[in-house]
Amino acid sequence: MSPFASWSGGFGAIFLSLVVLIAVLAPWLSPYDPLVNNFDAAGQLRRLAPPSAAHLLGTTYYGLDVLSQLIHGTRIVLIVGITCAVLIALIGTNIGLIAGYYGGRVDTVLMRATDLAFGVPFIPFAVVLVALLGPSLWNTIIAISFLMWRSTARVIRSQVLSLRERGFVKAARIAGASDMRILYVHIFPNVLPMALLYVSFDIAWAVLAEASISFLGFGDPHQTSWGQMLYLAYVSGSIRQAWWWTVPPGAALSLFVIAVFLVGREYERLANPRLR
Amino acid sequence: MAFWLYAARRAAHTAVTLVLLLVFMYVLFRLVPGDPTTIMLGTGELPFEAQQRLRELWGLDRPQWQQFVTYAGNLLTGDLGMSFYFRRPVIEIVWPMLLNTLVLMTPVVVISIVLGVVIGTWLGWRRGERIEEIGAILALIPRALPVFWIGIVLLALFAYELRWFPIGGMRQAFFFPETWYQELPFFDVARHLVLPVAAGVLTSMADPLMIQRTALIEVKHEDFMTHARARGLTERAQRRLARRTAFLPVLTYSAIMVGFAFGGQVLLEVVFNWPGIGRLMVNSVSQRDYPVAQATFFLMAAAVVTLNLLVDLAYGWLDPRIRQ
Amino acid sequence: MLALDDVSIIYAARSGPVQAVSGVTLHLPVGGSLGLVGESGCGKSTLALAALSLLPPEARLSSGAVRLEGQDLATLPEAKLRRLRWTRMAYVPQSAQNALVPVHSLRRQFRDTAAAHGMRSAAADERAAALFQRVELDPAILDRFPHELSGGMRQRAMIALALLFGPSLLVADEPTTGLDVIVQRQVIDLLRDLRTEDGLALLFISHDIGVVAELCSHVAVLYAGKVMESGATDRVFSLPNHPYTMGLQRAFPDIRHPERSIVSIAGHPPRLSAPPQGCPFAPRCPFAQPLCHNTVPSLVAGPDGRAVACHFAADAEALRDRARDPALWDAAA
Ligand SMILES: Nc1ncnc2c1ncn2[C@@H]1O[C@H](COP(=O)(O)OP(=O)(O)OP(=O)(O)O)[C@@H](O)[C@H]1O
Ligand code: SF4
Ligand SMILES: [Mg+2]
Repeated sequence: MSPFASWSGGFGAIFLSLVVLIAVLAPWLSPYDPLVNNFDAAGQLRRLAPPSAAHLLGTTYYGLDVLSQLIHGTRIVLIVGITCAVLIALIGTNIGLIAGYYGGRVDTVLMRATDLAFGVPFIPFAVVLVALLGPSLWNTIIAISFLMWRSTARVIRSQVLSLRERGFVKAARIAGASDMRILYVHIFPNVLPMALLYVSFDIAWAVLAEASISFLGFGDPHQTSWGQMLYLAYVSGSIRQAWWWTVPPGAALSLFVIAVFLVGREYERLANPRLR
Repeated sequence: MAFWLYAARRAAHTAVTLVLLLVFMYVLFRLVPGDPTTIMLGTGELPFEAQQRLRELWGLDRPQWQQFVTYAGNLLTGDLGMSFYFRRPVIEIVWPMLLNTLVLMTPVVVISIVLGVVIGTWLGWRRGERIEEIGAILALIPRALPVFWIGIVLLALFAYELRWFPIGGMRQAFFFPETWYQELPFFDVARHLVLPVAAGVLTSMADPLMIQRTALIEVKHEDFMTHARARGLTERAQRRLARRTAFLPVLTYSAIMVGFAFGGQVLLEVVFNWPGIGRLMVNSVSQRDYPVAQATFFLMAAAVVTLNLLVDLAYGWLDPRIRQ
Repeated sequence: MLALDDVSIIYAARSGPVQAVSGVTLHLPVGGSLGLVGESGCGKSTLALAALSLLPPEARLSSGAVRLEGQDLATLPEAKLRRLRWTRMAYVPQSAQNALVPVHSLRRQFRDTAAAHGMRSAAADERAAALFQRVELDPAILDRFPHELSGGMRQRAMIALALLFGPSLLVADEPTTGLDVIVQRQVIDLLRDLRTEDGLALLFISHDIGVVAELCSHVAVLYAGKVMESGATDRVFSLPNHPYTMGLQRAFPDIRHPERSIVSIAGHPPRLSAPPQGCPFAPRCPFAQPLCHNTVPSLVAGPDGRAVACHFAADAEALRDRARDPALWDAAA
């Protein structure tokens, strides 16, 4: 493996740790309150001030400090990413386990539901649901998790299908273990590596989805997320001059997602050495 | 013969999925508090009797399931209801927007797949070389970029700063061609297409690329590739062979990709002010114009499901092993 | 025609290097026929690929040279090699099942091969039809896909494809394995006809010594990547000098001695990732002595053009007598 490839996983891990650290220390790290408008000495709103010593990343059209918003945005990213990934893993893994293990009618019904979920265009659905339920962070999380379990369910099911026929499962069945026990004690640990891999990618997709929903204007108005920063920059017509407002959140989003991919890739390589 | 049986079964499957989707969507839109009369007119603005009359007129006093059957029946005849906001039949509003969406989406999907397959083949063929390892990691980057951010960056650079391309929309209101090429019939639309297509391709190319690369690496080890080498096929001919066989998984994926493409499409249309159904959907949801929102949403879902069907059928034609 | 000179091949497997072939020397004269026999995994296919300079990237020719008509294939540039392939040397791979391109019709595969060497489609079609008649296939089958054919049809189509440019060397890797007896017979007859009528040099690989005895004038017996014994086929099989050949002979029905019972050699070939110290056959050899386990016997050429790699080759006469007892082979392992 080239050094470039082997460093990539480490880079991802360092970047993610940094994001977690910033999220935890956000109130102490950010120079201003991200939701309080800043005024200059003359009492004028500091609209679209370019980066300066006072505002390292400048200000927004509404006179808010970009750096502080960027720092607080890490919290939304982590909340959305982790909560959604956990929800998706819970739903998807269980559906996959049950469908694969029981087979027959149960499998047919669950897999038809999965097909149906694949037929729903994801972002439009999330937008409609958030709009109908009312924009809030929790509704965004629900809307994202409502469909995204579908790929996890499919993959876990196909793994269970092959595990079901393996010796140790048969042995457990002959020994009189209950279905629940076989599923969660014997089969689950074997699908866990794959489930975890999907968790890592789901974090990335969920964060991108939240940003998209916020960018379309359906984000939580009481929070500062990176997607929402881009939304406000766009609707206030500031994208032509205020690069300091548009570049940092977009770059941060991209770097975060890349970092998650790199860590996932590295994990995949360690968990499944046959890949390389 | 067997192929037609297979096709018929897949088609029936698709029809059931569509009906289920319709029910699902109908229930979804009934989650909103209040009914269309209050949404449309605002509470208290209309005398109670007038509201009642409207309810009867629109059939809102009947049981839900009856309303659903009426809705589904109307849908089949192309009657999507009336827009609250435009006060015109939904179909009249949605139809032209749907065409506009296809004008943007088709080049995005086609170019993404073609580029992804070409680059993926190239990377897979060079498996194990340093350039391939770096390429495989670099290919993760476009996949991670939010399409709307790419759109914003492209707009700021090429539309506002350099003024090479229009800042959005599909046509210029008063466009006066100055040179011969500007008089070409689609010139105006084409120059409006450049930036959104670039943003779309950049972000949706990554998946077909990675799938093609993986499939190609597997195909390379097949016996028929050794045999092709033994037959003295040129490297180019060998690569073409590998690409052709490795393309099948990409084809399967392309249906899923179209599903994602609608998500990207909504964002692209909003960023670039493209008058398509994605932007129409976002606007109608914000304006609580539910008949329009419902129609656009259903059209997108139906497109995804139908494309899944078409891809399955295409797979049957392209892989003769499945035809039986 | 084809000469392999002290060829050794190492696979870089994930678990470590695998010495698939060690120091094999073979010679196939123009129009001659040479059989390679040995159990599964002894390196037959690897040698075939080396003969065509088709080894996969993970395999390395660690020593020796492969010469076709005096030219060292390893020193030839890829472009020259490409033009030699199929025009001078053709190949019938071990699995006709997977070796045909699954998504193309047979006609397309003939045309693509033809195009690679500058032959036009029309000429290729004509030639393909003639070759199909030669291998007793209906030319209409040319428009079928590989999965639509039976195993025997595929194998014959494969041979027809190999004859496209009338090569002077044909490497056939177990072309009869997996076919039923009748089809096997047809393929063998076809290959024999090709040999006598077209003067094709044949490198024929099989684990079935009966088939080799029928088709090849010379034979090399391989074990664990090494030549155990080689020479004229009738001499080697009627008077085997190596214990492994004796055992192999007992493992197949013999038309000349139908009364003999079939006894397989007990045990397994050694793992090539960790080859044994002495004679590779020692763990399974009923005649093994302490010397055998420590010292590798070298391949010694005899007066009648035969070569044997056994410490006790001089006592072959006595060993052959003892080898007639079926119980001996069971007891060995
Ligand atoms: N790509 C590879 N990587 C690692 N080891 C390999 C590879 N191909 C073959 N080998 C090993 O090399 C040895 C020789 O293999 P080869 O295919 O030449 O045997 P063979 O005599 O043709 O067997 P068979 O009769 O089963 O076809 C075997 O031990 C095999 O495990
Ligand atoms: S050298 Fe020894 S072990 Fe090897 S074949 Fe001869 S007798 Fe058997
Ligand atoms: Mg073989």
